[in-house]
Amino acid sequence: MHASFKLLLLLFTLFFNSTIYSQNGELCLTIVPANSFVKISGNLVDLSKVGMPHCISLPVGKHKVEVWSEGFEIHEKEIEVKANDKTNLNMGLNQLSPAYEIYQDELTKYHKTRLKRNLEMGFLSVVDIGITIYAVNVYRGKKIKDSETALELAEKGYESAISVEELAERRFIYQEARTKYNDEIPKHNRRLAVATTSILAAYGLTYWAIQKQKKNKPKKPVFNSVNPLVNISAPTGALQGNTCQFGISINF
Amino acid sequence: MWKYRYLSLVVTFAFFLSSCYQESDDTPVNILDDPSISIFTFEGHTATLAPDGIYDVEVTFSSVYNQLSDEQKARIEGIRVYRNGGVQQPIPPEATSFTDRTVFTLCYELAFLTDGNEISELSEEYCVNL
Repeated sequence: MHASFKLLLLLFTLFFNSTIYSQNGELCLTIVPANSFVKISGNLVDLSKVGMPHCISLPVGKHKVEVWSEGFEIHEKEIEVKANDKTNLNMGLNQLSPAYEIYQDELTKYHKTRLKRNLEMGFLSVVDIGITIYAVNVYRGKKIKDSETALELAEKGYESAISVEELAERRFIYQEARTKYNDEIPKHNRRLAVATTSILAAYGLTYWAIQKQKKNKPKKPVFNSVNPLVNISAPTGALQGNTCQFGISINF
Repeated sequence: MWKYRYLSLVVTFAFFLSSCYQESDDTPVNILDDPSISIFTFEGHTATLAPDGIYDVEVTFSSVYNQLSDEQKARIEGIRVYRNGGVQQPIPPEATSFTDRTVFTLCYELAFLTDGNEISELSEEYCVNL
């Protein structure tokens, strides 16, 4: 009975002391970027479980606050939490990590290369379409066909002529049509040669460019970031916002 | 290097392709415009003295009518006979002779007459000496 009384007294004293001497303060964080990882005094804080503003209860005293976000350097700050007081802390990450800067440079290069490739293919496509339209028109041979038709009509006209005047006039028309047609043939052949060469060259060039692009396909850089806050120490005793229901915390 | 091979192949192909179109040697034929062919050829005549003292003359000739194109045939209405420079009634286009009555020497020329009242080149003059 005496021992039980002593034990009760000891427990009461411990509880009473912890209530009086282990007082807490509140720390309200405003972090930019908002999805940053925050570590306070070695414990990872999950800010997503803390309502806005990110206010958490902390034991009175000095605390080391570390903030990290992907692509940034760790930003550290020491704060002091006072009893029954609210401490506001604004922290913004603005120092990019060297690795991230390299990644960004590579990403810019990648986008530039892709743009260049797309422009190249776009240009070649436009050239191909233009040359195809030109070649189709040449192969249809509207000019030579018009000349042919005119010549055929002139031939028929001449062949059906009877009177002397008619013969003279239609002979002249036929000779004119024949001259035009004969002049048109080498022009048409040149156009055919140019169109064929152009179309083969253009499609060949496009094919070559596609093969070249396939071979030299740029790889999109990937930024593999390692969260240094997680690696430093496992968040076994991660702080939660307002962890203590009674507004007190006991740190052993 | 393969690019040059490819280009030379293309140029060769284009060169051969350029010979696709060639001048056609089809020259239209119009027998009426051929100076080596006579449109009408007089073959002869007969002159018979009639009881009334006038000669019945029949002149025979050949023409190129059957060698003409269908278009030309369709347009020809007949053969115009020029008698001493004067115009006579036309005779059918396929005719190979015509008759006349005269007491003196006559010279004839022939030509095709079209539906548009145009005439072909005149034949050589053929005179019937009585």
